[in-house]
Amino acid sequence: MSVAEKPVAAQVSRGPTDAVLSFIDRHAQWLFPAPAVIMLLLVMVFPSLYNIYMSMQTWFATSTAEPQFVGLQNFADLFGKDENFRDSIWRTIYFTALAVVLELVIGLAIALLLNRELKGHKVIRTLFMLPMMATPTAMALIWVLMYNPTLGVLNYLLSLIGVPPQEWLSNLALVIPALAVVDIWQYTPFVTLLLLAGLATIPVEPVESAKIDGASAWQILWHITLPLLRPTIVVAALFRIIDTLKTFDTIYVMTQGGPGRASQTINLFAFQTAFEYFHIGYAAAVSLSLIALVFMVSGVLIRLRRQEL
Amino acid sequence: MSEHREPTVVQKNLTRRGFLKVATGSSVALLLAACAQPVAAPTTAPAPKATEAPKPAATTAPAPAATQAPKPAATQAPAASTGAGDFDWKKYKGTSLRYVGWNDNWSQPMTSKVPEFEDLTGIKLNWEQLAQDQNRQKVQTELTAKNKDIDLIYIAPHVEGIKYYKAGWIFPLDEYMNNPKMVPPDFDMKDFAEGMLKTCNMLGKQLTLPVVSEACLFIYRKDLFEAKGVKPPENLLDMPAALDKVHSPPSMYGWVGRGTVTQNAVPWSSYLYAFGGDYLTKDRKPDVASDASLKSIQFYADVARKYGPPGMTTMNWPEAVAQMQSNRAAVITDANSFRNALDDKEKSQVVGKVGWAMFPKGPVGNTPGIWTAGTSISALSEKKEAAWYFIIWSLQKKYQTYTHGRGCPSSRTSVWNSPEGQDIRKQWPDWADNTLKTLQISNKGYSPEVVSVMEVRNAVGELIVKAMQGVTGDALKAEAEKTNKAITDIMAKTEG
Repeated sequence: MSVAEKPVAAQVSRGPTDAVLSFIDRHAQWLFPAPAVIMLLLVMVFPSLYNIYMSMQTWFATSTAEPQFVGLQNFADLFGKDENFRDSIWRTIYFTALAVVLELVIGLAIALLLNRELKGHKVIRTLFMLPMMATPTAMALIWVLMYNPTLGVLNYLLSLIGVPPQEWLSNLALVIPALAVVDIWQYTPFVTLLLLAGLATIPVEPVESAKIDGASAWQILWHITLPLLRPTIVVAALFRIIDTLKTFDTIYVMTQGGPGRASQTINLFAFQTAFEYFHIGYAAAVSLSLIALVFMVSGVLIRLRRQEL
Repeated sequence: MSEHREPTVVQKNLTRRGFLKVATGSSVALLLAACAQPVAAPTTAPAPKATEAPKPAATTAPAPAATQAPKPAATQAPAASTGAGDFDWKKYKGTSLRYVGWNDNWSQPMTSKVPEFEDLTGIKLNWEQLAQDQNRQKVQTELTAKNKDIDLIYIAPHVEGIKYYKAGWIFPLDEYMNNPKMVPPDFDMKDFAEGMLKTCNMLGKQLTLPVVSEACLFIYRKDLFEAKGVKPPENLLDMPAALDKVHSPPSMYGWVGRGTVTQNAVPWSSYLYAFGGDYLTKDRKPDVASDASLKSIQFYADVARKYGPPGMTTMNWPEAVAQMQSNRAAVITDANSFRNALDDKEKSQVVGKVGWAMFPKGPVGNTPGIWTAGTSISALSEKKEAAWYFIIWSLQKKYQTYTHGRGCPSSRTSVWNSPEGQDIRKQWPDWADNTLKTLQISNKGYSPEVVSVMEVRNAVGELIVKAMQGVTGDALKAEAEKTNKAITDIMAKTEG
């Protein structure tokens, strides 16, 4: 034993470098993840906590006055008095519901179609994914041109079938559906992609036995495919709802929340409050409310999925 | 057993340690490199202390009293500017400046002259030109973050002036204007129209120097009006009848204007004043629910709904001007500085067909909105003197003459009276005469005189959009009362 211990003792006492290396060696499980954890704390946790802190201050960044602590006053004003904020919540929910429901329905239909061994289905699939890869801002600008009431191609096409020109983005009733169309155009391929992956995992046996039992295509879809696909549909809905609730780029580029405030969703409202009027504390409260809404909806969906599993 | 296993363990430890040595060494090297960044240069001038300033000045821009040309600023000019100092254009050679500006009727033509500035001074200029709304967001975001990179900003004094100055973002020009070494001998500060110069002087500080004398005019298609035998209306209430004659949609709309929330109040302000209304009462209470104000909103909205092209509520001034340029609209009541765009042979289909009449009298009076803008120095800039050189260079007579010739009415008296100015008057007599006449009769700006101009103007803009969307009568009055309340809240928050 004494013979074996000697070299180890010699090694430990070799110098400070070895002491450091030995320390690192012993604590590698903490040290290696540390940079990632520190980065996460800096870019995620600190801004979130600071946002919570700011939401309890009243502060105009354009004023030289220091921020003042006001407790929950900003939230009381938001939910108690601010009609613009309350309207923006409903607009956000309307836009999200409209876009996500249609994305799921159309996405499912296309996924079922592409799931068949059509001729050239690989090329079709690739082409179909293109809108998802495009830059939202550039696409939004193209859509603005297409929606232009006098020069846009949409009104031209409508005129061919005798429909009068529409003021797509200037009409109070049309502006949210018009924006939802852009979202649907861009993100339906994403839903399709997820559902195609889901369809690939469905076993063929139940479908085949149903066919033998004489089930119609509709019955197979309703009673076999959809129930088996439900977990994937919930995941697709979850992703799209989270994303759509916080849509900013497309709406900002296309309408800046207008006409009036007709397309001002919570995110646009927060942006205007923060970066046009510089009421930083109030804007922090608005953005926290949006986060709360996203968490709430996500929580419901995740619970739904767990129950199914 | 242990005697045999020991070398294996040591071997393994050595390999990991070898890796750790390399990793630690690299990290230390990277850290050292990061710490070795050059230290920022010290500031050349301290930022102005944002002191509690008095309420915004009550008047906007007293009109020049001269009958032929804007009146020179007899009392404003510093004595030093007229005398000979040892001014040296090359003093700040090698500096580079960043200018966050607008893409407007003054900046566009001036862009082509930047190489002349760089040659004369040896200063490199990086001029970012953005749409107004984007510029405001960018400038405020960067200056809130105390960004020292911005040296020059373009401001409309009555929109941003008080707000930016109180935020400690604008370095007043008084110190440089009064220093003979900082003003070229031939600059002649007295030459600026007194009213316009005063418009740029807020809270007792010269925040900028005026690059333009803008006035709201009745801009119309001369050829169409002549063909229909109709004259530009002298009275606002006669305007719809005149528009009826030239309105033949969808090829030609009778009227076009700014409709977006952020911009519609600009041209509407002339209608407001014509009906006898104002943004605020004399004791600074919001007054957009007054009878006069409601009548003007209803009138503006009715004209937009009846004679405007589709999509009016999402139209800003570039889109509205594009409708005129592309021969789709017959009238726009807006800035005289649109002359360049409407008579641009490359962009406009209506070159030479545009007339410039006075904004029609209203039931109560005629006070068309006037306006100016200019370049300011960021108080956070570390190159304030070089930045001043750009301002003083860009406002020399020859460049004011140049932009004046390109449809951006000058704020220098000598430019209007110069041979080039006289040529312009001969070529566009109605433009020149009615601009000067408007500057004489009006002292009202486009915007409310508050600290947070855009916030208040947007609240009014929302009300105008509602009227354009069909809200009328008692419902409109109820909305206007809400707007008054909103403005009261904004003023309470931002002005204390």
